[in-house]
Amino acid sequence: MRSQALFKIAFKSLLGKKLRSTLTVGGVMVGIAAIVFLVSLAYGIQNLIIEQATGLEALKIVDIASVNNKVLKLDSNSMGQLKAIPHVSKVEPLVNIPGQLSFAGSSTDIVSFGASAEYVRLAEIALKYGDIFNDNDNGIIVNTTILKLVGVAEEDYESSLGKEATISLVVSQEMLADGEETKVVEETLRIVGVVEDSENPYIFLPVRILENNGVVNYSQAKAQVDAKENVANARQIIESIGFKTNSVADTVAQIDQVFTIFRVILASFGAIALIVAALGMFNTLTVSLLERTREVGLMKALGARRREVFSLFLIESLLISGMGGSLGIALGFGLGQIFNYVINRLAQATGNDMVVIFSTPYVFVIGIFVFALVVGFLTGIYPSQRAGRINPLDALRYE
Amino acid sequence: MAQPHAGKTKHDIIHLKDVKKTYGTGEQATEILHGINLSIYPQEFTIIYGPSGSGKSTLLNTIIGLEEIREGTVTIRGSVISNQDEDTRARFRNRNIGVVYQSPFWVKTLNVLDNVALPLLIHDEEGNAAKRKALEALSHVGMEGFAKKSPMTLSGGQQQKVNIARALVCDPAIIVADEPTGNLDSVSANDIIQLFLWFITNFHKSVIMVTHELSFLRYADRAVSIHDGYVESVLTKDMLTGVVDNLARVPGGA
Repeated sequence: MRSQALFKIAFKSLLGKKLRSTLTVGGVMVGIAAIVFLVSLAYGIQNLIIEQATGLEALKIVDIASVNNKVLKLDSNSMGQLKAIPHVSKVEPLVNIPGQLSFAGSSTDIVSFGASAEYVRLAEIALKYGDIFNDNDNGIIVNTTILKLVGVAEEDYESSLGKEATISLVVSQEMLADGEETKVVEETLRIVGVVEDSENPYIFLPVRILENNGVVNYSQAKAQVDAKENVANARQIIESIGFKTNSVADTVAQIDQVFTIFRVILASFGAIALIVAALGMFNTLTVSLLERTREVGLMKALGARRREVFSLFLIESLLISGMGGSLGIALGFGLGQIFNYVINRLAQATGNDMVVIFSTPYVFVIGIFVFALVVGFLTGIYPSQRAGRINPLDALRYE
Repeated sequence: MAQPHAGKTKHDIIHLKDVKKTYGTGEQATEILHGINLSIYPQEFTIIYGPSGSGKSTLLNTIIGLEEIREGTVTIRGSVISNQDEDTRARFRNRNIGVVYQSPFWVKTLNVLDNVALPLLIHDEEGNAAKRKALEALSHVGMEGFAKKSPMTLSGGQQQKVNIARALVCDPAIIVADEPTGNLDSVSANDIIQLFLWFITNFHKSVIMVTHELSFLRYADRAVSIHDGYVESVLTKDMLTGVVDNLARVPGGA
């Protein structure tokens, strides 16, 4: 029998029992919709968290540090080497030096980061007041912890901009060129930016100032790769030189891992609905077979082979699961979009940012549709085999 | 047993040799057909008759390959089909034999036209060609006007005509009918018989009909009497003349 004829007969048989077919397709639809809805929620939240935790730019950044300062130094020489790596668009160094800062009549212990303005930008340091320094100026960025420690009132934070602060840094031997001894560097610099931060007291100052004081070895560096896809490759090359690398991508991978589990758990809840639907489908097919025993007998008497009767019932099963799957995907996706819309209206009304809570990747849509067909196939295989094995004479005598 | 003299000049289209049919196994085994030897000839109207339970329907189902037999051979148009598997027999039936049952069976969700086209679709025929041929078959039985109706809405006589159109649609050499008039009034029953006779003269079909309606024997070219699983007699047309009226008076006859 041509598959076109099989499809037609299967389809007409479903149409012939409209209520039952509708309910069975509806069952599959609800099951698939539940999975699509819940998994879309998991995808949406995952995307939201990754976006919040890491800007998209951050995914292109690789943090580089020396494993052992004595063996492989992160100096201007190795900087050049790093810049030459394919797809690496920028390499910005960072020097990390402990010291003290005196401002407004009192002083506090600080950590100072000697960096380029570009580095501060790559690190996505968000300034509360002021701007990033110019590489050739004497500007520094301080965090609010420092201002608090030296006794500046919160309302005066902004007015600290433009004022001078004195820092004294202990530059250790390993940062200096060979043969030089550990020394203390004192500088008077102007506050140009304030970072909102309640953690340790730290400042950013132009790395040039430290370089002028003899610093040649950097503590670490940030490399920017031109595209997210090239990060893994660039890291491999950097690590083959001998540096260790770190990337937000690692954190993202961990988040992904957690959410894979989360998705599986949510999908399992939906799967319960689908199992019930599959049982319903099994029931429908079995009842339909009992009702149509004579029809099967007739078809065999007219010359249909086992395989053709088997295919006919399997096609019915696939039609049910295919229709249920498509409608379920539409329903699950639609519900998610309605939720997104409602939540965003609420967010707008309360002055919050727009968010996407439900996200349905198209690969997942294809996957779940195939899954629905597989469920239909597995559910249909037993009734179909039974149909194929029906003895036509018994069937025609069957009342 | 009377031998048909016509058999000496014609080749048989169906030949049964020592066919035994047993239901059940072991102690409970019951032999229904006890070594049937029978020839059926082309372009003849063969009637198989006998009382209920004589094994005539079993014989018919054996001929068309729906019954499996353990002993003997069934040869149709030169092919031994009794040793073939179920699917091969099904295909053979589809191509060579049109089947008409007492109560017509339908695929209820399909209309008259699609039901008649079904054997062609099973025969891998393309949908539109199948419909065209089905309509032609319906016109042979005068039912083309009912093509779009559901078969369930037709009267018994109309259903049986559609059923015959379906048996005819694949243009098989042989048409078998198991009590095709059993549920019909005498007028409708007569219509069916006339259709069979017309198929024989116009389309050169061979028709085998199982019945216990003895009055139909007057139309038969050959009459096979089955009793308790044996072929009791085979009478040809000329032998039948004269006996028909007597047979028809047997209780249960028309």
